[in-house]
Amino acid sequence: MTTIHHNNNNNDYNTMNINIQWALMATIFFLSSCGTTDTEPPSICTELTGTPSVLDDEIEVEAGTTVTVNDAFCDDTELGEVRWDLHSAEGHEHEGEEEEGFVLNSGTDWAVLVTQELNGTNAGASFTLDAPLSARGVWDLVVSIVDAEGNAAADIVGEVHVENDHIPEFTVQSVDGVDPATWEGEPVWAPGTTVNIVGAVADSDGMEIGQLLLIRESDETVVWSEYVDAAGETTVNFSKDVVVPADAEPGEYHFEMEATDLTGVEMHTGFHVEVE
Amino acid sequence: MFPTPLLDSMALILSGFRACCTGLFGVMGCVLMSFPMVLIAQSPEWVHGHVVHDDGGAPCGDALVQAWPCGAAFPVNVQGRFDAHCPEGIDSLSVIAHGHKVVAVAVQDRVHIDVRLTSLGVDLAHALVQGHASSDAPESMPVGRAVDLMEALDRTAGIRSLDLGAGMIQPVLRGLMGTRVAVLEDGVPQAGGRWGADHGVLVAPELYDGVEWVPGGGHIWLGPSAMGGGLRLAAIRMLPEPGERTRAGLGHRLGDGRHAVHALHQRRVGNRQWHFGVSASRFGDRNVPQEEFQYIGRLFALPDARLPNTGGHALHAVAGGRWVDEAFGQVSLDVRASQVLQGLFPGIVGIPDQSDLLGDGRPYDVDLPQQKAQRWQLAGKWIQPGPLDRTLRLSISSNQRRESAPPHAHGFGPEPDTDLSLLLDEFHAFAEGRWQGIHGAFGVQAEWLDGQTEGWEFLLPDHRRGRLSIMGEWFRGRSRFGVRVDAVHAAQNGHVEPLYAADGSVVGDDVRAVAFDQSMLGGALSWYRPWTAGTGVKGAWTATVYSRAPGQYALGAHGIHHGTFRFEQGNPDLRSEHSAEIRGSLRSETGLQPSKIQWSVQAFAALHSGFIHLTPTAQFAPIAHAGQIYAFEGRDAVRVGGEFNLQADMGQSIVTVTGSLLGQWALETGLGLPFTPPVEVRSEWTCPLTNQVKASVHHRALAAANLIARNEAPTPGASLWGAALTWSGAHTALTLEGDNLLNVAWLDHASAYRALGLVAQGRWASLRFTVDVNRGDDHDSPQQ
Repeated sequence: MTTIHHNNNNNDYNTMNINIQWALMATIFFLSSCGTTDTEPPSICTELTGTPSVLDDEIEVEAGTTVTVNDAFCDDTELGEVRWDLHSAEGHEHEGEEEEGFVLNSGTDWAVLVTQELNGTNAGASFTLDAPLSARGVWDLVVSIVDAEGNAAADIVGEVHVENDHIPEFTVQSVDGVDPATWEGEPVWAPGTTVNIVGAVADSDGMEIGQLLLIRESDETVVWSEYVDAAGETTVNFSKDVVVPADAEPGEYHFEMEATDLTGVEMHTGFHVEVE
Repeated sequence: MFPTPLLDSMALILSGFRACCTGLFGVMGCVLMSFPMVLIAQSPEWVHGHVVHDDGGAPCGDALVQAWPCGAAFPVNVQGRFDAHCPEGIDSLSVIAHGHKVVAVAVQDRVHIDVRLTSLGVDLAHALVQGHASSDAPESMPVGRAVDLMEALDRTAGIRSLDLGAGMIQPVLRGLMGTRVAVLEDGVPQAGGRWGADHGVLVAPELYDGVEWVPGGGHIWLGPSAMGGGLRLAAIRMLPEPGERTRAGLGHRLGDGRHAVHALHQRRVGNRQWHFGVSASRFGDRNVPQEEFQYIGRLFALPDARLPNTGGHALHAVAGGRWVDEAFGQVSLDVRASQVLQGLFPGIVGIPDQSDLLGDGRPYDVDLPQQKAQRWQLAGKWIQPGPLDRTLRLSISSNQRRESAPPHAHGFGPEPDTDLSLLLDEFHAFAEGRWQGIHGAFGVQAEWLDGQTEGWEFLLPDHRRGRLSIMGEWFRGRSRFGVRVDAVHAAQNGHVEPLYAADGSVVGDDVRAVAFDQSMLGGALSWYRPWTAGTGVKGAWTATVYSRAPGQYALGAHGIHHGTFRFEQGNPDLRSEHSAEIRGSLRSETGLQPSKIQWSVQAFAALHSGFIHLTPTAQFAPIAHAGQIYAFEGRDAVRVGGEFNLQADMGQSIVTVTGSLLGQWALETGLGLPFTPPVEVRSEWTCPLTNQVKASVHHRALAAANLIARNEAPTPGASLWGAALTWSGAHTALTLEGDNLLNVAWLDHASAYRALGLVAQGRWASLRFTVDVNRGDDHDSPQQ
């Protein structure tokens, strides 16, 4: 009886050993079947970039002209695609981007999105932008790259400054006595108050007329407006009292500034205002 | 059975146990002292006796006696005699016979027991409804109650919830969600935008009779969707006696300013019951301890520490009836309707402007973008007892989801002239016939879904999907074998739009969806077996292989999914994924002996062939406000994990600790699967202050999520504290509860909002009052 018991124990022991061996083999097979993959994202090759490059501090463009941005990209295995995304810098920031301060942008609808295929482990790519005559201000150029495995690199953000001598230009010296360049965030106006705005509008062809408007964004209703008389002057200074209606609905508004020069060229710009 | 000295020893141990549990090392002492108690418990290995009818004492020859804890079943002979045996001893017996109430008998020290069975006719409705609650999913576990279902799910180890606003539920079971989790209402799978991480089911848990979850896949009756598991909402049961029951509650939550009210009334007269319930809630913009976030590389400020335009309201209603007849059985009919209107955080639709994120000081207003979801469902059930209990379920439902947003163009196309970004209108029908006896069950399920879509966001074409399943189960000894064969038919329409160049000119066709019409076969095999690991420890294991046909969204999506902030692309060439899974569970089981410690452990390992998930491609979307294209691909994967629960009774107070662990890898790359939740441990200490008042402190520890998919960012860990104070009367309760008391800014790794760097809700506190009143009709006795 004792012997049989002992054999049973041996059998149990052997069975357990076999089970452990199977478990080990299964684990080894399992782990070896786990693949490894390239997780290294692509990058911009600083030594191969051209001029101008998205890495430049800023890219200067004159409205109505064309500029081509040249850059090169690298990956340890195989590149995939690059995407150039040019959009107005108005209304947002990018991480690491320097604060632009108060900028009166015009023609902010202008945006360009181009995707290009890249081959090999390093490849050059260029992006051509035709700045329209209606644009003035700061644009972001965001370059995104992905390799053939799908690894995406962190976006590279460059700044494009568009100068414009074609359209009239507004400048704002003060809003309620405060230089808007010192603003942190949006200005907040209360219903029923009057806000004094001091500024100028200029055009080398001479100004025909200008207009200032306060527009409720929810339904594009003009709640206040006033003309700036130009009489053919190349520079017109103005000081206007903006009356925020007492019954103005709280919410988002846009302070719009529009002008037309003597050749009939129009422009509009402005800034966001919160009424509460 | 126990000699007096032994009983004295037990009493001594118990008193020491109580003392130790109130001491400094209470928990450790409880653990150490539990083992002698477990070892002392003894039961007879053999028990014999007779089963007879209560009315007259005639032998009941068709009864089945099940001995516990081993679970072995023993048929009764024609004289009504049985001989039951468990090698580890028998602590109790269950006696089952058709047409009779199930009887549970505590054996104590007896070796001969005569059992009298009472005809089911005296309480037919009660027995019928309750008898089918969990019989089709032996692994089911209850989900506790909390301030809302989302909170309750989050407090259940192995489950996470995605916060989609009041009235929408998106459970994450063992790391899986969407179409891989079945949400069933009394056995009927719920449809309605089940494909996305942000498209929850519209249900109000307060209008049900409880919630339970079933972990893992391969379940025979839950349908092929239940791969991560199933969440089962129990239908409103029939009152056991004529009378009335009213449940109601109201509450307010500081933080997002949510107020909610609900009432559910049941009235039984004779063999008929009707019930009616409503639930309404209104919630404001979500409070978050955060000042800025990043989306598509752009940095935006949140000056009010709120997510603007995330408020809304939810309305739910249910009306129904029950009718029971001894011969005909029980008939149930329920109508449910829901509507949720919720603002969508402007940061997730199109390209937000900083001015959109400043808030308007009106947290309850809903502006564009917004979603409006509504559904109605008509469900009926007929249970007829017989040699084989027959159950017939029928359900039809309509689910509509309408998303509206400021128009924006797809690619270089023209700007749309309507706010309608996505309309998904789904009609769903379900039917099930089931026959169940003591040796097994078989049944048929049929399901049909017809989806119509509109809107400039497109995302999904019109589609149709049908399923026919045949199921069978065989109860053999302690084992339970199951088989299900599925035939799935999936079809969708094609969709082509003009392809625009950068200058707005049409340069070709943009094929957004390819029409297909295909059928796929699948099914499941499962073997469930309970087992006893020793005295006081019970367990069960399940081995299963199963397949799941790809969901309609995985086959046909093509567009920006705002719930995940990505451009997602379906793949009509996807094939069914096949899985092999083993699951096991162990739990303490002290039978009739008192226990200060209760614990349970569940674990699983699953190997998936062609596991369908979104993977980043080497291409960018043709839209500025979407980055890389993510495509559905089927790749092999492995998932392992488990949960544990521990409850220690420390004299006056109770300590509960639960935790979960999950690992999910794509085998081809060795990387993690997306949205794999990290290790989580939740602890709660509850102490009664008086007979009616108890206080509790809870803590949730989330480990850093470092098991990540390609391009997925790791998530740091978090430590969250909460507390509650509850007063309970005979029929009422008042609860004051707070969570995230330190207002920690933490990222929920399982949430798509995390991809934006948007943290979960900050500190909140809620005050709730609930009432539950039963009133019997003394003048109105049940009809027998």
